[in-house]
Amino acid sequence: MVQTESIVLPSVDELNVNEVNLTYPVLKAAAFHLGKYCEFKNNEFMLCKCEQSDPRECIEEGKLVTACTLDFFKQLKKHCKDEFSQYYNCIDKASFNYRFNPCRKTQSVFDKCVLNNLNIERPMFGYYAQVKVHDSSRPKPKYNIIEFPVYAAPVSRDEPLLPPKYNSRRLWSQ
Amino acid sequence: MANVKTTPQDMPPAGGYSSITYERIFLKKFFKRSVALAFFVWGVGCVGYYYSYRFKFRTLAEINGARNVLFATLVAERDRAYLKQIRKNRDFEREVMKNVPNWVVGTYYGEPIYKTLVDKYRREDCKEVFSFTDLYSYLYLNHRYTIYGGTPWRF
Repeated sequence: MVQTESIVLPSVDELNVNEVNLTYPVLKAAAFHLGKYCEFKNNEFMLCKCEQSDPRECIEEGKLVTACTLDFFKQLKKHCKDEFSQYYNCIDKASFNYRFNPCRKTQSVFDKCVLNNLNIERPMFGYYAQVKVHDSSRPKPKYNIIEFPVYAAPVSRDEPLLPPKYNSRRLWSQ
Repeated sequence: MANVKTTPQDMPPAGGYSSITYERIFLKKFFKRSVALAFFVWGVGCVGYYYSYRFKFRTLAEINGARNVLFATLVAERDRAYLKQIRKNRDFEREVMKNVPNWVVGTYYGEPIYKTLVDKYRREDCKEVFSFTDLYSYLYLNHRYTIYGGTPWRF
């Protein structure tokens, strides 16, 4: 394996949180309102993921995203349980690949309930495909840009030849 | 009366009158009937293609929006699972190789796997992550492209 002892990995207790134990049609049915409810946290997390190539850096943001998702589904269960279960049952069973098209009637009932109770309006068509500006308080990441000299230092003939740094590249020339 | 001058009498033109057209004259034909039918079928097909394309585009755009939202939730969960698994793998390696002399965890007898990334975090490959899990979770996540038409799991 690649990970040596000196690499600090987060402990298991740090990573154990309440996960969202829901199937895909349920998540998909609630996706548009969920995106509005957790928009800022999702954007923060995705910004972190884009800036850092290391998953250890974005654990806290990821926990916030999961907590927000769970909170949204708890509120849905509290206020719109019947409408929501009707809608995700339709998405699950009306088509083989969970399309939204055959479920417009149940969707309108669900939308009305969410608008009345949670005060979230369904965003316009194509809202989540748009490019948006996200205002974040995160500090800007520091990129290590390597600066190379314009030309190499002169080498004299008297200096001894060093062994190659990355194994032998000069297999045929030597 | 014989000396009275009169205008010349109307006579038929030289060569006689042209013949009277009593046959029906049809309009000019631009196409043959088969060619016109082919153009009609082509036009109907174009309109049908446009509407089916628009329907498919709108359906997939809506689904992509939903997937964009769920991406953050799913990736957050996946990252945590990944970090747990690489910790498990390291513990397992330490446990298994404790009786082997000169074995250093994460290296091959002290020789680092990546020469330029000594003691630095590096994203693991899929096969490394799934080394000590059951076979079917690996097969599901990586070969569901062939089974279910999804995309393989990448870090």
